[in-house]
Amino acid sequence: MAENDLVRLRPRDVAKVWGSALGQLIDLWRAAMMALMELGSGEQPIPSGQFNRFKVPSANGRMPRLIARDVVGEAFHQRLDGRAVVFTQVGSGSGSVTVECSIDEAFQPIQGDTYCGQVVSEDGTVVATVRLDAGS
Amino acid sequence: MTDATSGHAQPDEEKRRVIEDAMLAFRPEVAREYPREPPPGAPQALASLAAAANIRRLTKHRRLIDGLRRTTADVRASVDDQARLVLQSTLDQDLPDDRRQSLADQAKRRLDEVVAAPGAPRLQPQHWHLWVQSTDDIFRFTTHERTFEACNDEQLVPKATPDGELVLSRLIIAQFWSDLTPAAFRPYVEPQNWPRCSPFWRAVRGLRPVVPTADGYDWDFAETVDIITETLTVPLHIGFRVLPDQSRVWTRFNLCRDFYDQTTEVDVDTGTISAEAVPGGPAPTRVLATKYLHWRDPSHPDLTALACDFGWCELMEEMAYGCAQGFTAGGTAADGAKTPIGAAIKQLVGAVTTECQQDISDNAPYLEKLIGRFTGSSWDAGWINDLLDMGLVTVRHYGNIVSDVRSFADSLRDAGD
Repeated sequence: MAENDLVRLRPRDVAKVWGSALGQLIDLWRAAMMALMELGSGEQPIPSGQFNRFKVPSANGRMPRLIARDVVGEAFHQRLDGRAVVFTQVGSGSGSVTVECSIDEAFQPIQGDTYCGQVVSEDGTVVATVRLDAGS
Repeated sequence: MTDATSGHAQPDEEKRRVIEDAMLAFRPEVAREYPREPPPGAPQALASLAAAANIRRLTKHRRLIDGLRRTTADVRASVDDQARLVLQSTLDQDLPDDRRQSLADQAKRRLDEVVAAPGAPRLQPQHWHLWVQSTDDIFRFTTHERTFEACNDEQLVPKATPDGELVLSRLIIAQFWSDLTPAAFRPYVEPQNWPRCSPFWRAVRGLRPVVPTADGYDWDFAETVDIITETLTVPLHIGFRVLPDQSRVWTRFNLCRDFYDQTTEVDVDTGTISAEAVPGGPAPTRVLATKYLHWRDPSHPDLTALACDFGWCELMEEMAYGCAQGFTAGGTAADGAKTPIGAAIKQLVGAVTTECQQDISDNAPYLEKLIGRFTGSSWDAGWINDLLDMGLVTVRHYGNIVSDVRSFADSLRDAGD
């Protein structure tokens, strides 16, 4: 390459080269990581938004009493009774439990929407915010 | 809101037939249920798929892998040449002929590996990932092609019909990620544009005037969809919404109860199509489509069982290219979205900053616990768990940062002058 050619090279031109090289290096790294992570795992469904998971401090090793409040549809603004939100303990760790929540479609007629609200513990502390797809 | 019908009836009809034939040729049970003349054979179906210049690369590759995985080794051997033609039709048309031939041969060898990979006898997400990884040097896939996932309709979910009965409805779900902003997908998310995007959507006809809201509009319309030999018309009530900061654009649709009657063939049709900025993904914007469907009359063949493969998936595939780019007419099969360098830098800096902030904030409780263990009244060996938890959080966030850098590298590579 002549000296003049070097002078004409813009940073953007060089960046194209290292952009491609960097991309390939990352692909290799990710392929290796994906291969490791996929060992033993099955087909993972795309999350539909019907369920949310969060962790809360446990009460004597169990899920504390949780209440949903201010549950409102994002598009049509229908307000749901907090009792329509169902909580299930799906795991536990040191001092905490993993909770899965969803909306009981049979609890009341629900207009199809994504419903957002807060989850509070018995003393009124907000422990999570949820965003759940429900209704029809 | 004006009514919308498919803009170019004849080419659209032909395009739909070519896509459907590429599926029916490998699904004899569906071809028997919805017979049409002449019945599609695998060699002719793939040859037509290869010849169709208006069918996208994503659609061609996915139909090819899915079809070949569903069939026997004998049939596969009989369509070897046609499969190679399909692959060749998705390569850059400016390449010299001998180069294209050699790349198509390489791609065919890798296709054979993907078709023989373990898994169900159909295209599953892991097969698509394998295909993308093993042929990216040949096809240089775009972000939306690389991340495309569809169509999973195996899950059944209880949903209420307009009569209040809870029925197990089919959940259809598809998604891809994009380097474009959510606002760029507005035309795709708006239902009146669906017939212009997909040949499966015949028409969207207003039943009432549009009602503007503070953040979008509500609308009642009848959607007409063609699937193989059948036509399905469903009245829908939708809310189209845009968040003030444009970080989310979406349409929520439900059966319109005011126009639902005994002739409506489905009693559940609800879901969301959205484009949303989601930090931590493989690209800044996630485009997600979910639909819950239930066929009303059990004495007739359940057309909703085909909605995922015949229509919904194709709509997503088409919209990934066309609608987001302003309905470009007759785009080539190998085209893709590009992000200007300035926008790519902004996206990278924003994403990395957000990830780092999130990383620090997510690690805070574990760090607090860790320090607490060394300042308590007795020694506590649980500190190793806290360290592991912090490691997990950090790996997750830095994995996300790597994804952001990957997208940035693509933008540099693809940047024009």
